[in-house]
Amino acid sequence: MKNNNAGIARGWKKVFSFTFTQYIKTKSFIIGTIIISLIVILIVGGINIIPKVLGASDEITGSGNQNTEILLNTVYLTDNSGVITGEDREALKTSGLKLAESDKSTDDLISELSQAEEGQALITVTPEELDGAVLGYAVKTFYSPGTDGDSVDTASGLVTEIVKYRNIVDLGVSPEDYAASQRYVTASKIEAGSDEWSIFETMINYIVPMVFSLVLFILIFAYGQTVAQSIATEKTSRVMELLLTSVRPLAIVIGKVLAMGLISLLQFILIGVVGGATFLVTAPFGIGGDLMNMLQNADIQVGENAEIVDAVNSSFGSLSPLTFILILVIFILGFLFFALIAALVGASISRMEDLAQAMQPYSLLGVLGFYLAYFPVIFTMESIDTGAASTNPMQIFSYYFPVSSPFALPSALLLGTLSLPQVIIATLILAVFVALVAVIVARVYEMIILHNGSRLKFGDIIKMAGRK
Amino acid sequence: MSLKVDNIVKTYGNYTAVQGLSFEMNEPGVFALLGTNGAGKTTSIRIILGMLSADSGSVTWHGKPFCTANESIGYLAEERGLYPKYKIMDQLLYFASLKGMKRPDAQRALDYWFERLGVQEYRDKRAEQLSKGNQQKIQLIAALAPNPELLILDEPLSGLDPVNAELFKSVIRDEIKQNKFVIMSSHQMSTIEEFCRDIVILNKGKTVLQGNLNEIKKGYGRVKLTVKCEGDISAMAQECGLAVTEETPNGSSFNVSSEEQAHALLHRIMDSGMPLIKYELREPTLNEIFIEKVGESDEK
Repeated sequence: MKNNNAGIARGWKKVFSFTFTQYIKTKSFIIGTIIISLIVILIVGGINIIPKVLGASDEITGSGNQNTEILLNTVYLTDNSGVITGEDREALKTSGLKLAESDKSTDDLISELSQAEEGQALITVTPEELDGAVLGYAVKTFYSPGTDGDSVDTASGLVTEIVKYRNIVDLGVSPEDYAASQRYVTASKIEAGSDEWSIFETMINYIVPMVFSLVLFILIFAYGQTVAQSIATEKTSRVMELLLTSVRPLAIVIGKVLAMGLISLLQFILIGVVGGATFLVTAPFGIGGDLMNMLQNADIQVGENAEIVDAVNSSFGSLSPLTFILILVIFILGFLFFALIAALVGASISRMEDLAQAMQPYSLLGVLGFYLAYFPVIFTMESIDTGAASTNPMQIFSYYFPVSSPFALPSALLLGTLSLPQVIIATLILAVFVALVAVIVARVYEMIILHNGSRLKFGDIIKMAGRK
Repeated sequence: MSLKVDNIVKTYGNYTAVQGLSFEMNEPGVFALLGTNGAGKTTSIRIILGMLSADSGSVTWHGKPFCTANESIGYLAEERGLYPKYKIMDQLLYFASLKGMKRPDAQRALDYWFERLGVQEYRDKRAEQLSKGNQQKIQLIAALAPNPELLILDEPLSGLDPVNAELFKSVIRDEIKQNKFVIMSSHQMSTIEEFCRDIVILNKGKTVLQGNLNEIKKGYGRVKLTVKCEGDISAMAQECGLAVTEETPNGSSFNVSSEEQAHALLHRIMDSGMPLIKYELREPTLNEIFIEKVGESDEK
């Protein structure tokens, strides 16, 4: 006898609706969502604000200039070397150094500073000689208690730069030649044929895939497990028998997988929205604001700032609506792949206590996929020093292997690591694999959902799939 | 003709769970599906419900192939199941919606059954907060709310206290009055005798007895004799060719081959002047028939 196959998935919408509404009402979901949101707020806010607090923003400014305010009210400059000219003193004043004159000796000034209020400093420049020959110059900065350390560093740095400059120029080198001698030099090794990344591009190309694969792994894998748990609960609590008098097993799988998929997707979007909102709120107080300012004034950036702008534009400049559509498609396919397998695992057990053991192959598969997407990035970390684009074969493999591609492809798309045709081919491979899993699940699920007794092993399920 | 189960067979590898089960329910009433544990009752019910595919045979409802999704069926499974963490009302509305009920209709039906079974106060509780008996009532509500034409009750009274068992029985009686088709599976033979018109007894997947319960009993005749006297009647019984099958405080039981054999024993007791307390000649109970038939089947 054959069952009537008409409407094999009839009722899936009701299963979907019930699963969705019941799950979002559970304490675990509500608490989990709150915790995830808080973590995102802390991470994004922390990344934004903490470097600023630690002074990293000195190197990232919207104008491209070093206009850090020097919090020193009075700076005495004692030059025992004779290299600093009146012109240099004026230049120092223009840079924000409040130079003051004093007739007191260096020792007296140091003694006074030890008792003085914060914001006062004495900078001494002394030649270091051997047998009458000048070996170098010592720039020492004495400051009153409680004075801002960054300001002291900046003042000391300015004087040191002046001494270096004057030392060279006094030897007959023109200011233009001196400026030319200060050009920076970088060294890198690049495999012929690969893209060349700047250090900032390299950092972006490591960090984004790692963060993305981790977030996708948590969402896809964790919600897959929830599908397994939900089906196992229905089966072991015998609710399944009641459901099966109204709908076919496949409708239950479809409804559940899609409901969990939507919840997962919504949480994914929520993470993005919370992260984006946190960035916007904290930007004025953190390096995010500086970075945005820098990107808005990209054409006037110089030095490292210009490199950062280039790296951001190079890594994310090719984003289009198609990129986001493809990311969504890959996410859905990835979720379906893992959730369908999880559904099968959930259906294969008769007792809840068997679930953890039954989930082991599923967990191994998920972790394998995640590591394949995650570790190639770490293995090529040394490239940061060299500025070479990664051509790690393992990373390429992770883009096309269906177990890892859901975790690896989205970041490759975002960063343009793969070309559009390559991404489409990888997505199609994933889609074919998902279709194959769906056929196997549809075939086996009806056979095992009412199986009670000993836990079905992987081999038993494969045998069932092969039966007519 | 309404429900026809025609020669269904189900095997799992070398094990035959159901072998050629056939029966018909041509008019409303209660049909009993009986058997020992593992006899194939639950498998048969699952095939009838369309949860399982049979290897061969067919199930038709009003002359058409039976399809769970299209028919109005209420099912109370042997192993009760509710979502432990969800509110009772939420899950009952879900079950009703899967049966195609619109929410207001479902709400109305559920209100009626909550009241009828006295469980109104549990509608907003989680299933895990209810006693086993009350969970069973909720399951019965899930089966009855869609007002099904066909009701399948697998061990409906197991685990119930006498008060709730009587409540369930009254509900079943009402369903019968409303011309419902009911298939009942139970090990409580007295309940089956109380409700069922036709029976099938399964043993190890095979049908060992089938037919109208009254006719089956009549076919046996009055062959069960119970006698209680103020004295030992074993010698008199032996003279009549009877051997005691069971000795209880209610008297001695015998299997008689004819009513004349029983009357012969009665005459001897009367002639002996021994005071007679109880003399009962009756048809076998369903329980006795069940044990006999399953025993015969096992011996083969």
